[in-house]
Amino acid sequence: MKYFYSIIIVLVFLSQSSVSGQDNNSTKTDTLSSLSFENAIITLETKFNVKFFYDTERLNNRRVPKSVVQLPFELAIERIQKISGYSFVKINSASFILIPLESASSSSQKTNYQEYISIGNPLDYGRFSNATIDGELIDGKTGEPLVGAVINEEKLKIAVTTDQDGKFKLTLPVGEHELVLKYFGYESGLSKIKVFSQGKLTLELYEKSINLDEVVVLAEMAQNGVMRNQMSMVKIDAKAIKELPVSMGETDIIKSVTLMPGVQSAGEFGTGFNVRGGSADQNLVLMEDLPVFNPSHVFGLISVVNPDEVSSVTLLKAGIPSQYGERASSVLDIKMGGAQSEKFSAKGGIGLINSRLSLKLPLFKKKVILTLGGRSSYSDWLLKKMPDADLRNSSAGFSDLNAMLTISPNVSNRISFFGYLSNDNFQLGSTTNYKYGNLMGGGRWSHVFNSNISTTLMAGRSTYNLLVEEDLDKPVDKSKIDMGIIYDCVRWNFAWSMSQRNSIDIGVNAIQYSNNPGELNPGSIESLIISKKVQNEKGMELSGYISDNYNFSDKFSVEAGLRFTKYLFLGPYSTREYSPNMPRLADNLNEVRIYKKDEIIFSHNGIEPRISAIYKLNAESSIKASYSKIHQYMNLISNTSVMAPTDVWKLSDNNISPLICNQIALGYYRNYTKQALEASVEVYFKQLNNVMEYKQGSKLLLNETIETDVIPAIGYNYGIELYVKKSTGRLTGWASYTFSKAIRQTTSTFSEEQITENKFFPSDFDKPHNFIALANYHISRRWRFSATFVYNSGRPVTLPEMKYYFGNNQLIYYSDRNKYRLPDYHRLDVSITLDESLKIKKKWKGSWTLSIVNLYGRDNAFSAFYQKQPATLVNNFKTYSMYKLYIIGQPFPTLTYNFTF
Amino acid sequence: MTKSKYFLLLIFPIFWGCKEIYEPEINNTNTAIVIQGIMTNNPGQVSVRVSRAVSFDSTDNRQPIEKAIVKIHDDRGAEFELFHTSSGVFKNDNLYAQPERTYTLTVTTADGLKYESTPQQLSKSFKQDSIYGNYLTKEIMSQNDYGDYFYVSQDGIETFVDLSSGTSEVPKCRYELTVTVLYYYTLPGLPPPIVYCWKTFNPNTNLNVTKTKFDKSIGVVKKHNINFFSTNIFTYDERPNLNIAAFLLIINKYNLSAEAHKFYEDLNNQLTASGKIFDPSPSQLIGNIKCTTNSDKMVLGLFEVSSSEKYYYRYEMKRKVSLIQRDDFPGFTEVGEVINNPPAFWY
Repeated sequence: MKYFYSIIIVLVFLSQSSVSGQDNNSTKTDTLSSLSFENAIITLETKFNVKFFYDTERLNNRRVPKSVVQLPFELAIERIQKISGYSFVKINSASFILIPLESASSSSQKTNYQEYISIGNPLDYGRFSNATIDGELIDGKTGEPLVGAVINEEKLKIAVTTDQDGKFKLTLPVGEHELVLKYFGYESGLSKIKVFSQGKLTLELYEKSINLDEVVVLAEMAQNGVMRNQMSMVKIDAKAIKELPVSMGETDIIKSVTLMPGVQSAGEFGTGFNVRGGSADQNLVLMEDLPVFNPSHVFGLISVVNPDEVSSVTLLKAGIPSQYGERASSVLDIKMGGAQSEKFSAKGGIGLINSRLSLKLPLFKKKVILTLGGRSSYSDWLLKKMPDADLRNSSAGFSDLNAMLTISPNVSNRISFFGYLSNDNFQLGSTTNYKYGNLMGGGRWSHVFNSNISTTLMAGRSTYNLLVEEDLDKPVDKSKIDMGIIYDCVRWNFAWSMSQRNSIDIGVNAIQYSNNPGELNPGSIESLIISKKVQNEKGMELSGYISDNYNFSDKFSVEAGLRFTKYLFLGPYSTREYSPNMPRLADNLNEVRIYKKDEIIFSHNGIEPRISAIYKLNAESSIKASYSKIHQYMNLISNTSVMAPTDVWKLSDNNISPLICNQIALGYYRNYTKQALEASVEVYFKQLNNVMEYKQGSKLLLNETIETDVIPAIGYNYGIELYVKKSTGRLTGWASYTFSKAIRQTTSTFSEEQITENKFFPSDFDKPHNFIALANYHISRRWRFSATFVYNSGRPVTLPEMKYYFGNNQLIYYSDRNKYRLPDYHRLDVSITLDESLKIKKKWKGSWTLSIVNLYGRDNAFSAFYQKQPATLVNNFKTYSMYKLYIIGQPFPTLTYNFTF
Repeated sequence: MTKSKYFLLLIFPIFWGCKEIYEPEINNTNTAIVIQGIMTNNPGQVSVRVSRAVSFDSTDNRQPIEKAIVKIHDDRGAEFELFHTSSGVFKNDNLYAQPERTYTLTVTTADGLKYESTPQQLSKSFKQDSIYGNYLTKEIMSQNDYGDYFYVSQDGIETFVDLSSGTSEVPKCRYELTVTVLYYYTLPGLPPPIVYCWKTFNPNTNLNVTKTKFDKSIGVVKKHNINFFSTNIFTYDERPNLNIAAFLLIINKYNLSAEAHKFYEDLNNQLTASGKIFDPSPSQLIGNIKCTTNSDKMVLGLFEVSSSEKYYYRYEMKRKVSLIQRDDFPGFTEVGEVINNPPAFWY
């Protein structure tokens, strides 16, 4: 593939249905005038919203008759194939590469011939002269619809093209016919049919197999970003996941997300991530449409998502469609099932920290696909070697299992079941043990009524449980604390494509939250601990939405939606009501009111308008804007700077109002250098109401009156994100720079409910400057090198400003909240991968990946704290200092062997 | 196997040096006065220490305020002045707290500013039901000449108390204690002269306050650890041929109000912060004293009115550890060395 150094890949928004509007018979060719090859290609690209990649040096000297560009897409490129002596190979739905004909033919298969397929009821034979076929053309391997393909009844000279769903309607005389199927990048096909009466027909085509070793697809490619309606979106498919940076031995989906503009993490440790200044609980992390309450193993060292099991990942930061709600900042939608394939496959990896295995099993003539995956760690041995006594006496282990069963009885119906289980066990020193895990299960039924109408119904449950065992070394104090959440949901969506310009989505969701904020029990028979329980909470969120996507013209389209949410906080529960016009303190408790089971204690109606629009300036650039409003009824209350295992989930109630987020965003998107580079600029502004800030010295765990320890605040997050990405060639990657602010302000008139006297203060997630550069370089077909550089402003911290003595103890007086910042954070990670063999026929394919996290050993401060120097016999246990804590202070290499067969 | 070893070497260093000294640039414009007042039901235990806080990056540590008028007022209108002794410490040895009375501390500094505590009532006493100890080997951190930290095993004794309130209230106490090691050696001669030595130390690195985490034990505190100390004589005196005779324990137990107990718990949290990843964000210590003449003036500290008891114990170190209570240690001094005639508190 040495011909394609100058390749530019551009992707597609597009309605290939425009092809269907062409007259297949208008094939007159004007040979008197011609175009340069380059001009012909550009004209076709513009006309059909596709992109061709070719060796300009070899082909630009050729001429193409002008009439060719007037032809329908299929016929035009067929002519170009003949003229150029090159063949088209499809990369994706709108990108094609021209390669020498001999290369293409070498790996081509002969045309597929099929047996006769009967359509309609044979008993009807003779009743009708003509019959209409409702057809569908799909990828025979993946089942995905093929858009813009041509179905031609050559004898009758009747041709149709498939629409955006791969559907077509073809009216033919009753009898036998031969349909020629053509779709670029696919083997052409011939289907013999017998038509008796009206009926359905599903046809398949198979992709041509040609190895393209120098084309790397990273996330979504350029033109999608420019031309798609959705803004502030990052989509990574299974293929692109392979190209994501490797750390700790494997690709980490969630850590990779933090390499996108506007997304940050607290550092090497800590659960979750922050999107545009929001806290980690403001992200709706969905795995097969079910929320994941704790997305991390070992408190953030590695995410709970097995990368081999992921089919696609989509992050939405703004302009969130009305289908989504629940969380204020973002949606991270993870689809499982692995790469789309109906063949048996196995994948795995053996690393120093954990190993993983995934299996895909097609059953019952591929109508049923079972996917199984699992990971397990064995990192205990590492901890036993640590010099720190606490760590040496610690243990950490995790495992996860996932399964997905997809049943496709026919083309109109698909039923899938999904299950997921994760377990973590972390014992810190000899005193405290944390056990936590997610358990999820759900089912989904998708039904296609016709090419324009479809519906999806899903139901599922997601649970999260945490067990903290404390004072393990003191039998009389030994205790255990259970916490947990159960999330049950039913979702129904109805999609109606009214016309090529207009489509509507309507749906309803019903969610029930059951929250156990904490229950304390004795940890042993000898324990003197008295049991204590914070009341269980129950809430219900009912929502309905309607969304209309309307293309006013080829340049301008709008998606407008409205989501309505009804939240109910339900009994049994004893509510605390405080004196009005008084600070919310225990002393001001007015009344405790007892509610019965399912009695409505508190309700809230939320109307959430959503609108996003795109205006395409030309084929290379566009402007997008969006506004969204989201209510969040379940919040994680935390007084730590990162999501901690002991943080408390809290439902909105009569004392704690729902978090409300309004966001507007505006973006400009452009492709450069023949679309080799995609660039964008986005600005956003978020206004947050009822952000929960904690009071000084608050204790959140097992706190029965937590409302007296938190203060509602308002917040403003705003910023600008610059992004450039190169998706083609040996060197691919992206770079981004973000300037952002995230500030908070309390507004109470009572000093007890003020932070920094109601002046603005930076939130824990306020990191104004963020620069990320990621590069992948394919050294050769087998060797691949990647590097990731991250720079962040230091995180806001509260530091000591004064010191004083109380008795013999030196104490400190802290600054206003988050007045100072930690030193700036920067880190370079590199990895190199060697594929053992690329031979197609070889079943077992292995690869070695050596990755080094923090290559130059930067001591990035994770936190700063005031502490005695380690108490020793020498310093008489009495020396105090400020320290900074860092997690990975030196280069951290890992080696992993990955395999697939 | 070779490969595994190679990676072990690479992986281990990442956890070394997980923390290091941090000297941020502090931009402090605050000033604050610090008042630490205590009054008990025993004469001679009333003292108020007045000082100034200094900027965190200052090389100064203590800035005592010696010119101030310090008074304690009771709820009957009587006022008692405390007099400066040294380094900002004001005392009145005749004064002590009486049950059912409330007391207010006032401090007037030379610049005319007046600081006043909220009224405090003498706290009720919690019963110390039992005291007991056992032998234990602990890993103690030490430091070599190059500044590197390492752990050493140390044989010692740890001591526990059980407390009860007689009600549902969780006992809230603060322990101040000293341990005195009694040891001896012989000199050449016939009969060989015996040298009796003793040294007193505070084995606790932090304040010792009973825990009320989650108020989890109603009415009782069981097995509250009050100390751990080494039984290796070289910890206290590196001369050769020394023999330990016994250990003495003197306890001052202060019974705390809920407010004072919360203050000391927060104080302990500040002192014991270890910078763990999920530690809560830092918080200020909130005391019970305010400036009444200028609300903008910052004052730190606490005025505590606590009932207190003093206990004397001698450790009997046999196969098991036992503590023998004494009424007093007659003639006790904190440190000393005598030949042939052991002091009265020796046995």
